[in-house]
Amino acid sequence: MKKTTKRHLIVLLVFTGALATVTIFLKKNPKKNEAYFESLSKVKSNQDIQSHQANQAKSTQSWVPGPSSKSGESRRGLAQSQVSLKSFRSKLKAHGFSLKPVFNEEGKLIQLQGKPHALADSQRSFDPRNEAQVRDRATAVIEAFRSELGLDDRTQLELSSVKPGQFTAQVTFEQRVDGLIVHPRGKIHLRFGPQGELMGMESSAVSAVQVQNQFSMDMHHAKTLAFESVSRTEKEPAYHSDKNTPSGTDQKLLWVPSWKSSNPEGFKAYRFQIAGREVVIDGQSGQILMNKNKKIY
Amino acid sequence: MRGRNLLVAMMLGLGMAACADNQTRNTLDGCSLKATGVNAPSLGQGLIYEVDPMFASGDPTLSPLSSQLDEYRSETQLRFLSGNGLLDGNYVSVTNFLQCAGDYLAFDELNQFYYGSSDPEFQEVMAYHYGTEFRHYLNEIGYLEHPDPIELTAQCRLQDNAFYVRTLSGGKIKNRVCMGASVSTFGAHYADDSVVTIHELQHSVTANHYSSTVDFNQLLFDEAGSINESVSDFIAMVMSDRESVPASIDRRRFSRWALGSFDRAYDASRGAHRCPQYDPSYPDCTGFEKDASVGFSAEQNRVSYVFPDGMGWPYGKNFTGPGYLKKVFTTFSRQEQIHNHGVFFTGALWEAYEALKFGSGGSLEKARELMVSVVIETLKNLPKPTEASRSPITYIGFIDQLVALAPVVGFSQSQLSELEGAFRARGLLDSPELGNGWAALAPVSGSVDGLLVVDHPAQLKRWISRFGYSPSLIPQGPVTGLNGKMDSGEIVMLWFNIQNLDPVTAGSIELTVSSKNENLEILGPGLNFGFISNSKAQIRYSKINGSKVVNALSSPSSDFHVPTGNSYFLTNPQFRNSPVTGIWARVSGDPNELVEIELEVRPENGPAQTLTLTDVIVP
Repeated sequence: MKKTTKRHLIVLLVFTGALATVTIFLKKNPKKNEAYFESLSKVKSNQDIQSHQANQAKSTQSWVPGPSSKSGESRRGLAQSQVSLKSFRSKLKAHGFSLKPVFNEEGKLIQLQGKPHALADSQRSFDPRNEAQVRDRATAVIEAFRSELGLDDRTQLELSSVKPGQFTAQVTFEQRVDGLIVHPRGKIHLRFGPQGELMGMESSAVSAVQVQNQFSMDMHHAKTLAFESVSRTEKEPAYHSDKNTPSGTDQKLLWVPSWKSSNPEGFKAYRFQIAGREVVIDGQSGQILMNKNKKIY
Repeated sequence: MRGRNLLVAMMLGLGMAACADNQTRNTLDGCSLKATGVNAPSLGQGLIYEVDPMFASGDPTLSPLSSQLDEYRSETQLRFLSGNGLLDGNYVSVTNFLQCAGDYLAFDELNQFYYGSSDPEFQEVMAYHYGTEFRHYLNEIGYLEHPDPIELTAQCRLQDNAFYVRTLSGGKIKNRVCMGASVSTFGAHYADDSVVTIHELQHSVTANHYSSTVDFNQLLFDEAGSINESVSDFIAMVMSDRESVPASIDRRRFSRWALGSFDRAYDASRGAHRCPQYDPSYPDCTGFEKDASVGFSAEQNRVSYVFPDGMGWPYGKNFTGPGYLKKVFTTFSRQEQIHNHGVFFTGALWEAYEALKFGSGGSLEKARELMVSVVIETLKNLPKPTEASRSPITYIGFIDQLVALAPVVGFSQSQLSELEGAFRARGLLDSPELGNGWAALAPVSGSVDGLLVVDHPAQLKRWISRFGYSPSLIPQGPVTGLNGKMDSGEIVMLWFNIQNLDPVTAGSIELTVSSKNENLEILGPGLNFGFISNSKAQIRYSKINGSKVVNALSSPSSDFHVPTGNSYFLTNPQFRNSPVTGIWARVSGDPNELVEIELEVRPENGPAQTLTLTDVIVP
């Protein structure tokens, strides 16, 4: 297949998949963002951010937009980020006074850390028990930080879970590529406090995944390999499992094991849950990618 | 499944008797499918032990072999039944694996579940009652983690253990609990101990409130795993607390029955005390002190359950004296085992609960609701893994989040102070920090400073099988695999001996291991659960002793002297008995080429530091 035709097919698949599933394509919506930030206009000083930058600069974990990061890669990221530092700071203020950002070596935002009750009293219009409000707030945050998160127009995010609660609320987005759930990467988690303040966010979203294989092995064969692998670890599976029949727990996914944000390798794979273990098998080679005990004793 | 096969047999007319009005229940094996055709009420009655047989009898020395066990049963109401005559309800559905291959055993059309303690149905009633009441309580206070009933297998095929597992079935989460039986005491069952049932059900609460998509435990050893166990112990103990407890029963002991009495040779129970059972001042723990110079003593056999020095000391008195600490240190191999590691954390949560219970205007009910609420609210708001930290949950981080959320869930200022006081006493708030430059590479016998290479093929083959891989993946044989060095082509396991130059012990050290050239490849996430890339992975070490605790554990008497030191290898000398804290890697490149490794060491109570080490591929 010609490369261009293949690319068109992938684009078509992505587009069709988006229409067919309950999927959110996160596109920029400047008007909505402006209105949102205007509604959160009462912000305090940026002392917290600055002091955090000073603290983070002492460490080597990951760089933040500040002057003291030390590695070469970090310096490159810093140069890119300084351009948008001002707008980034204003976004941080809008979502909570004490949000602390963590960026990776490529300059992408991977974490925001905050505390409850970080917004001024006048901004109390949020009810964490209201699922629609929680969902809207989460979508707005993703919109606000999409460039820092490294999301582009082709990034396909699915609202995976919305958990309203009496005091706090949690939301998770999962990423799909070619219609397949990305795993274990490809997640964005958000947590909101009682006033809708963002208490935390982590992103493992990936861009430009380099898919390395195709599904050329059938699921039955892959499952046999999974059982063989489990038999090396479990003498007595506590539950019966039928290895000849695909069950509701069998799933296709795109296995993205590397924790770098851009151009990571992805492997089309089968995931099975057998005798309390999660087994991931390469959809082409049959290689065991993971066999992890999921039982908690 | 066996029940269904028999149903097919009945339908084929093979002569098996069936209830005339109930074709899904069979009278031969007594097992039932869910659809019984019975229309029973949602309330029932049954016999249970109050908490466990020791609690029910008031006798902490009661043996599981006692012939008097039936006398300690008491009648209780069974609520929220589905009405099909089974122990199947709104909150839990109790199945039986050993007798019914996963179908239902206990059945009564009028919901009268009265059994002798040696009947398997008795354990099912115990599991149903305590599982239902616990999950109903969570629902009442707004923290039921999942709307569907949990499948609770009271008679599971499992030896001397119990577990929880979450699976994804048809896009839906399914939660299951498996309760095993004792091997050393035949006929003793884990479901007879209600705190074990609640402990396992709390794992479901922890897993599902934390995330539907990400596991709470990330690495084979990490503080998330230890917190998971501690929280389960704590919640089970709080749910089992009563206004009136027999004077002989210690409320602070977890699983006095199953873990404490089934194996007469080994006490695996845990507790919320301030010191272990081999400390002579147990259970009052009068020598408790968070400063290591005072709170630890080899000669006094004194251990204080505090962060960070109290982590990893086992709770049970399974060692011989006179130098108990020496014996523990030299023989105990489970320092970094998650059930053992967080005993001090359970104690911190318990003391916070008691401070609320006995504080001004406090009560058991109020303290229970506040603590269960704030713990679960904390679980919901803990960070998820990122590439910066593949295992981001820590004791200190948990407590910081809990204290921040306490006012949100309704703690008053005085209650918050009580909470903070309990955590401060256990070293979880405002503890001394390590100074800059605390870390260095420590010597390793026969190797370069800081690096231990394990390449023994038999050892590695055993370990790689545990991860589900074929042992044939270990390429080396005895020719190169017995030298403890990096030969080209070998798969090896690496440990790093970090030295702590500070008086304060380093707690929960996150190691980011980076290979700086292509001669050393970090193997994938199937082996390294903290995998970041082929050149980088993370692992956690429990602690590295500071000089204060090393001095406290030394003695001029060889009977008492604990041969510890201020490096990782001398803090946990048993580390290399399992692959839990090792890094899997593949060596390539030509002889004499360099392997360069950068280590970023980040303790929970001090600054991060970067160390580098260089080794040579065997000429």
